[in-house]
Amino acid sequence: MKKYVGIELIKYPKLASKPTGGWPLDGSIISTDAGNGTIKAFVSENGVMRSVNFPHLRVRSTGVNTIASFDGVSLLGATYMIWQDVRYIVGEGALKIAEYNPEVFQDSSDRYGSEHHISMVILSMALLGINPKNKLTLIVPAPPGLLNAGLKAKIISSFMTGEYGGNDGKWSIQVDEEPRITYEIGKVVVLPEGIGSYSAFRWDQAGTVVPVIGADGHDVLGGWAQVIDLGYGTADSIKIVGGDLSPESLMQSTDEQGGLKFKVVRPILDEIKSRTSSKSITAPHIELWMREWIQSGFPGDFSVRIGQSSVNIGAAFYRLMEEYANWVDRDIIIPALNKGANSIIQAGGGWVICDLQISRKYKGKVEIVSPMNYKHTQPVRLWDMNAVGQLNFAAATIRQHRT
Amino acid sequence: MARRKKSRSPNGQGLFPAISVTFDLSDPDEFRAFEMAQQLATPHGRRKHAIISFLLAIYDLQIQTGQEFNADTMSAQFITERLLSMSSTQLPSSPVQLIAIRNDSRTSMEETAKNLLNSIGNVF
Repeated sequence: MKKYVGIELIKYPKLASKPTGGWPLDGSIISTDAGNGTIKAFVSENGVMRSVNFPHLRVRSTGVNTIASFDGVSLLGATYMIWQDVRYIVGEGALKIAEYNPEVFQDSSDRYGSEHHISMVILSMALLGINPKNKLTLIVPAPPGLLNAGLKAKIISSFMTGEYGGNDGKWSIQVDEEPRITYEIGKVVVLPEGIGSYSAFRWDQAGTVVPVIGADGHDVLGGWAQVIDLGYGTADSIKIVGGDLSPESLMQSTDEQGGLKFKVVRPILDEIKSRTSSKSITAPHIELWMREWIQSGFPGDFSVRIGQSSVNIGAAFYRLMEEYANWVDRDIIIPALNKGANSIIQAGGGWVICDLQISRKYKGKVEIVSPMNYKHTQPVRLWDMNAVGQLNFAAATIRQHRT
Repeated sequence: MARRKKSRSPNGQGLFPAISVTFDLSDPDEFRAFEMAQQLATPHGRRKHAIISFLLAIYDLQIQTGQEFNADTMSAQFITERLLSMSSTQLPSSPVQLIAIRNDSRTSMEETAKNLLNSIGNVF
């Protein structure tokens, strides 16, 4: 696989056995998950899955030659794309070298099917090295509470319009100094977020049903499973009873301010802005530091440089982590359990900071279903569950309708 | 030395947020009420819960009937009759099993898979 600066690319080991009749996924179905924080895309071809993951932001870049490449690695530490004749810096390095404020397009249902959303999805396909000769099917998830018929139609028609408005689903992009590629989208499948996470447990990459046995010896998805997807922007709580979706509950299942951005990132940003003279620090900066803080093992001392100051935000992150876990428990888990949920299905990166506290509280009492506990989901990270599961769901659907 | 004044509601209007009840055990009605209180005494705190539930029920009854209650209109028989008359059906004289309960109602993993696929449809 090629490498790009500030872009995470992963090739997974085979996660399933080849089913009778051959692999259902041939590399033409792209599972995307353009969250408020990062964009992810997964593709599976003959049982081998690959993924790309990078921040859901782009920054306009001045001039054509400001970023020189050397041996495939940008001297300035970033990857760029040319999208509709505009050059943008993308990836983790974008925040560090950008002159302009980052474009993020968060916290609005309008972002689904927007030009920004489309650019990120097409970029993810190019970074994954998707073969442009294939006519592609895109899986695009949206928060279930926002996913009414209008939004679904908007997402589909926006992607299918194509860059010249010819309704041909064709979009072109250039990454770094590589040749310009044109992709053709043949179909867009819009799914409510959470279906993917449930599917990541229920099936493997071959679309084969996998048992998910809990501490009581029963399949944990057989009763009332509450999928709790804690994202960067939203928190979704979806009721699935014996595999049946509850359409009524879908519309009330999204808390638009229940994600890490509102519960952790914003309070820290406000605090920093009120106590320093910094005007250039934005939510994406805090998000980047939060990820670094998590990767460092949640240290109490975690200092960042803001202008001429060194600011220790470790204790604040820790305190907000505990408060977030309490909020998730009080406002999402307890109400679901009171209504009758048998198991809580973890999904989304928000669980990274509240899993310990919540799993400890419910140990031996309620099944908190974590990908870490099952062989077929173990290699999948919490924030990738939805996108991976969407592929599993596609594989199972294709196998069900094979003639 | 200044003596603390005993807190007391003016004219016994029930403004103090605590009540103490002494049962007259020579009165047959109060004796039965006392027996009920004893039954509700365990675990600790259940009597308070029962009294609050009872008062809430009276409050709701007052709202629904539009009739203001006072100590003169209250009697156990009156409350029992009113509560029963609000039920749409008469209580059965002997217990009848109207609801069947199955302890293990979990769906098999194959069924859950089929149900989810069917609920989304053949979208690929």
